[in-house]
Amino acid sequence: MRSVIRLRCFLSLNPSKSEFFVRNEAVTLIQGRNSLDVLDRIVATKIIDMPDLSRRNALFCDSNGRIYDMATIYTVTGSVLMSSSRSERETTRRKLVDGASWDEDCEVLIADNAIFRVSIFPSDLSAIKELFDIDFEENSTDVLIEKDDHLFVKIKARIGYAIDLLVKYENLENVVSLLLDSEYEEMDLDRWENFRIIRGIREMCDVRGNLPDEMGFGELVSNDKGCYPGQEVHARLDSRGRKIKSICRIYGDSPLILGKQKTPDFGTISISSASFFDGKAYALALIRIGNSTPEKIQIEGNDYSIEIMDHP
Amino acid sequence: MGLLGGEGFSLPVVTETKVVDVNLNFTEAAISALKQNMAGDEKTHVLVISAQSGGCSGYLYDMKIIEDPGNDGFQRIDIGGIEVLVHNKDSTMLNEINIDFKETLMGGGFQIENPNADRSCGCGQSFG
Repeated sequence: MRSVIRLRCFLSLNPSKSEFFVRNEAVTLIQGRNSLDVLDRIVATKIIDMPDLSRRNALFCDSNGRIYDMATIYTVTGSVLMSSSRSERETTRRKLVDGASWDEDCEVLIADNAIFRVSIFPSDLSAIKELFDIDFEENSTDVLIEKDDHLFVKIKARIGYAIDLLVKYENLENVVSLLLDSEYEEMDLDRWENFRIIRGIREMCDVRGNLPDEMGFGELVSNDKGCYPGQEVHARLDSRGRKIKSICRIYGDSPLILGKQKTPDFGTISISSASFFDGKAYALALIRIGNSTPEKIQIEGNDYSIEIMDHP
Repeated sequence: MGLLGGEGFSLPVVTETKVVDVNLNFTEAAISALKQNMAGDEKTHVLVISAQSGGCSGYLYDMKIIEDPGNDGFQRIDIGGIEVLVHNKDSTMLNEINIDFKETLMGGGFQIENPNADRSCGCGQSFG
């Protein structure tokens, strides 16, 4: 029964359609031989061992272990490119600048309007091969591929693979035209919201102020890299071995409202993202489920299916 | 040319924080320990006190006795005939810190109390 429900939900993604989204994120270029060391001391994720031309997601946590920003890190021939949330860009960049010691070589540059990240969700990888002349089926995930003035990376997604394309502003229009001419559909914000909730892609509105484990981001926390902000809390939670709340995707037929909702079985839940599309409601919510794996939840008298989100 | 290269590809740099005139408060015990550690190198060496990201509270203190690096962005404070340097970038974080020296077998050494810190780690090395 569980797999039937999941299949129905995934089918609404229409996997035969190829789509893309130009992300509105903060892009920071960190240059200098100590750039990765400085960044590694700030994030909860171990990134110091990243090889050149690779990609990794990383979390920024406060001293209470709660997430205040999240980023995707790219190592590009001696430099580090970081795509992070726009809302926290000032705080994160300030921590980088203040965190570099006087004798470290680390310069932080703002690339917000210079470099853009385009997330492409192809119906199949062979279709995108013809478009950019790169055999993504042959390439490993999280390895950057340089082609022309662009950087490509294949990412394992919840369903199939996605391709992230890092592109200069001056080339963005050409890339978008190329994708549109090849019958890729550009997602607007509403469509992206629906798409990412179904795929379990969490954004700042979902994760801000929550613990990595609760967000299904346990894999992004390193327990052996030494001290970083939030490390004590993460270590304690790891040794406790259980979590109380989890981020879940809920879906059903009646629209869901953002914010706190009282439920008969799970107490108060917190809906951080919600979308109603094509007669179906989808949401991401933080729910006190303990170590159980419930399949149903009742909200405002309506039944919804529930699925715990793991690391995407 | 690549993604990060090319003509006209210049990006704005995030500037450093504001600079304040630094004052440091050393106890007699700290000055005495500092003189002992300098061991006659006062004319050629300086003590650099700095802050960098890390630790469980966000920032870590660092103290180094090094050859005088010159005046490149440093503020110089004379402490009992020894030059103590604080870089301008750390000035707001380290202004008015109190530096003591404790001679205990465990957890001894230089101790820093920072009035600018909202919190500090139990080990005394990290603040935020």
